[in-house]
Amino acid sequence: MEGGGKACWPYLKSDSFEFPALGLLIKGPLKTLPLKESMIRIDTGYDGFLLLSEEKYRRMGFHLSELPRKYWPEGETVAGEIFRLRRALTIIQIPKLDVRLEGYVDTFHGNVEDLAGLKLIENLKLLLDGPSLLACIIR
Amino acid sequence: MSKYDDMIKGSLPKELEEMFRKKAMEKYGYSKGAISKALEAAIKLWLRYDYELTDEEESNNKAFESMINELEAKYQGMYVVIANGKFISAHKSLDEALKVEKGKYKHRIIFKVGEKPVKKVRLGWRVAVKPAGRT
Repeated sequence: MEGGGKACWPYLKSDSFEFPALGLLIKGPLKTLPLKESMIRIDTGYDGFLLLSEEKYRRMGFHLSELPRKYWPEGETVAGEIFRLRRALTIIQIPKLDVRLEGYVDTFHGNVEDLAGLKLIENLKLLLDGPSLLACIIR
Repeated sequence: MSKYDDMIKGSLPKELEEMFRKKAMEKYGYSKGAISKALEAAIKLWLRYDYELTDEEESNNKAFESMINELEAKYQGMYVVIANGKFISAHKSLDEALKVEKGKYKHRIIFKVGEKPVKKVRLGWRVAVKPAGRT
């Protein structure tokens, strides 16, 4: 849904909740993830840029754009579990708004979630339209 | 057949062993299986915590460590590519650095010289972790 300098995506349903999500083109060294696979939930509790499942991280070839291990951070869950993250460079785009951002993509052992974090949304003007269940980016 | 039939033998410093037994009993009760349950939980956490590097990943990281001072002096602000255990190229844009000759490398390091990411990240409210194995 686009128009008037605004692009919107419907909230994603998970269990019995609806979550705001963004449609992002994610560029990896081997593959750009198709838009239909790139509805990424916004999670303000994640303070990185983009978290991808281990499976997507591998499939998109992020082992070919990895940071040195020295720069892989530790990640801590809300339950206090600590994991070493693998971290790589990526580019994300929102074609209809001509938005292009560079940042880090993270993953860790056993991760099955894809999340857009604080570092990513700090670059965007977001409108969360709760009553209409739409997350929008405004130019 | 119990799920705790397989044995691992090893030794621990006395102090750590005592602390481990005490914690295991506190968490799983003073029962026969408490130590096995605690050991299973500890091993799963350890296996999940970190990554073992492949030979190629190790060699690229060693190359990075040995070259970092020189790269910082020469290529500040540029994207450097390391593969096959050596410096490959430096680029002004990430798009250029991301280009891959298909099948040529199994692992590459790419980083922006001078940019040092944070050391700790909160993983978020929604993070879900696939079970590491049977529990």
